[in-house]
Amino acid sequence: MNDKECSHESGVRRAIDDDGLTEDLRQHVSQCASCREVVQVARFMKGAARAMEREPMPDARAMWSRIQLEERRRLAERAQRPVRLAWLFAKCWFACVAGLVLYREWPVIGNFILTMPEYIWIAIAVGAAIYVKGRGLLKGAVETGGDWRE
Amino acid sequence: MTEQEFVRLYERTAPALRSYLRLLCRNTALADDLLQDGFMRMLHVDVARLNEHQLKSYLYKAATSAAMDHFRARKRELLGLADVQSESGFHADLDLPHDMNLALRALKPQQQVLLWLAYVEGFEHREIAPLLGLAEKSVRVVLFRARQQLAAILKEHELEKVT
Repeated sequence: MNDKECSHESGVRRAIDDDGLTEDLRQHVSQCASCREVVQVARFMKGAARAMEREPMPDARAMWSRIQLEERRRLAERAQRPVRLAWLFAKCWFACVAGLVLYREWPVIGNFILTMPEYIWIAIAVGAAIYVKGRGLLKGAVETGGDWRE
Repeated sequence: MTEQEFVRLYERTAPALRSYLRLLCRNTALADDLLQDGFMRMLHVDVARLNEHQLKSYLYKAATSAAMDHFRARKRELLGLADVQSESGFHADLDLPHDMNLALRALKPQQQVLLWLAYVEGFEHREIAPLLGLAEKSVRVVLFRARQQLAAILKEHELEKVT
């Protein structure tokens, strides 16, 4: 396949962009099949582009406001990243220490659990329920922007 | 970038860029999101230092990269562009006259995008290559074939005079 460009092709393309072929180029195009094709295709594509651009555009100022909001959200998210990382690290640290303590002190802890009075179990269950419910409510409030009814 | 600068840039470049994005993803709402994303990537660019062509090139790069990020987020690679586009209704018609749609639909998605970048925006092969993640030589060959194909379609359907 011959995919070589005619040496005038870029000149022809530029001339179409500038809305006018010089007499020399016009003469060349009439003799060069490749450049004729370029003119034909470029005019078709530009016609399609013009037809598509007739559609109403989103308002520039509304777009600017949305971009500003999105940018602020991104910056806030970036600022929170170290806090989230520190939180994750703290959780991992706590899990490791707890695991180590459980492993090393299991005879004492196991014995304590087995002999624990019932009211301590009830207190733990109530504490866990309050934690789970409170966390759900807090998350809901953050997602709905503080409106607790939603 | 100040609001005034943004509005001027937007009014000058957004209509063509939005049409390109609509051609790329065939979905007006998605094209508007990508347009916003593309302009957002321009926020920290000193537009005053760029000439018109550099600005356009930068903007198209930002918008195309936003589109590719979107496609990638849906676990697609650039080479899967055709799959993504066919899935998102790539063969859905654009708001164009019927015969124009007919001619464009006969081309592959990649060919349409290449023809747009080369003949509507006037980008050189070396500028198109990084936009679409292709080698410069491939751009030359694919574009040549696309041009031949479109010219043949235009001739076949006698659409040469439509434009």
